[in-house]
Amino acid sequence: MEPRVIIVDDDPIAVFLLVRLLKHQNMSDRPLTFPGGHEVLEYLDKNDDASTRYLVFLDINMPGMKGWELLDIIDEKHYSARIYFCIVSSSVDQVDHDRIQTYSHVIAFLEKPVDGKMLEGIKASKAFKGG
Amino acid sequence: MKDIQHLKIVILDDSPDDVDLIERELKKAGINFSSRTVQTRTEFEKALQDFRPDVVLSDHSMPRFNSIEAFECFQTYQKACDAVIPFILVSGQVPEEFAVQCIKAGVDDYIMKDRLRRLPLSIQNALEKCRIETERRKYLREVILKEALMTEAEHLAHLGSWEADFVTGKHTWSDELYYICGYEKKDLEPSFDAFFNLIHPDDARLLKEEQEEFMKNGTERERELRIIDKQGQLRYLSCRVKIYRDADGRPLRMLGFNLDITARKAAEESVKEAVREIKKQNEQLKEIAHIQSHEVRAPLARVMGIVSLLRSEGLAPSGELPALLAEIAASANELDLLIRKIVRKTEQMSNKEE
Repeated sequence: MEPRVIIVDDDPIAVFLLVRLLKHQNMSDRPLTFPGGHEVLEYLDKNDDASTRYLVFLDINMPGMKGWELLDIIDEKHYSARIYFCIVSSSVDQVDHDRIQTYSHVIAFLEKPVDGKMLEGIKASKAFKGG
Repeated sequence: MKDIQHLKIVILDDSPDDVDLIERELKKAGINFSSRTVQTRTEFEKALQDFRPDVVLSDHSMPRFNSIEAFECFQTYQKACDAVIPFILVSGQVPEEFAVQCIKAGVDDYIMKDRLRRLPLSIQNALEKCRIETERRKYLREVILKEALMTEAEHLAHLGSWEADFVTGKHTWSDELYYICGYEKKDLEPSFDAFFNLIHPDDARLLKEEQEEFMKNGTERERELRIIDKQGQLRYLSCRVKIYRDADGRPLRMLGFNLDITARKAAEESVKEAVREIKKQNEQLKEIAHIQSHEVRAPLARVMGIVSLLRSEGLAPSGELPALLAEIAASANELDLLIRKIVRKTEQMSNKEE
């Protein structure tokens, strides 16, 4: 089973571009998109069926709940073991790069704009293929 | 009499015979001299000015002048040229009371005309007395000048000094030490206690402990102290103390120098404050840079993403082109506004610094 792909980003253009790319790479026909952390939490809490795996493309710099906060909250959830994250950010800040290393379920740090090449690596990863 | 060089003598006398007698007595004693004889005030004043005598011999009374008036005249002259010159009364019999009065007023000696043999010795003694007085005055002037220089130097350096004499028990503070402590001389009697009372309580406690040991075995010491001056202001002093002892090690006197370093301390503090301020600004700048790296790059990433979409086969149907171009334009505008905002902020910051 392929994981359910989720995009969390407040920038509609970024979402539009990523959706288009994911389709093109045959990674997801209809990824779920959320403008912020609260919305995606609400969805997961209500709809998680205790078996679905998730791959979340998470924007770090959003108004309201920051990407980092969402990572910390999900870490405490019962479904945390089934969620992998790709951090997506417009930032080229070294601080962010360093912080990534402290989260074990973060498998990639993608700098916007995301392109096909970046997604190929993720598509080949265990987090996407499962097992 | 050989040691007396050529003397210039003014003789105030209306009797040529007496003058003759006087001069003969001086010659007999081997005194090398030249003289000028005068009888009136005008002549006397002129002789003082032009002849500049080394000795004045004055009769008591002359037809138009007398020794009292002459001595007043002479004193004015002495004061004006700051000289010390013997003035000897050479006269016939005068009441003893008058002679005593003259000596009291400052006349160097009184010689009776029938005892002229005493005159050479009297002149010699008077010259010696005047020489000593001249030297004393010169020395005094030098001391006063040095004292004044010292006081001025201490004031310029903000250096106050003090001395404690253990033999007499007398304590002395320099003007500058009073000034540093904010006191007038009349307001404060110098003593160890007087100074201890000014010291900041925290420092005073430490100093009291050290002081005992220092009095026993110390020779020289340096430390910083804080005092609270009369106006209640905290002042920082760099203090140096030296102790002088007799052969048995008993302290004789103590000498201290207190340098007021309050201004230096304040300067150091303001440098620290400036460094703190700069560090704070640095932190703010870092924060701004961090935010900008997100804000500025967001629209740019959008433009780059759309462009790459347009260039890839099959990713964007041609019908979407106008909408995507509009997005590029909107993002470019956003980027433009952001850059303008940054420029404005940077200008504001540099204006603030100025």
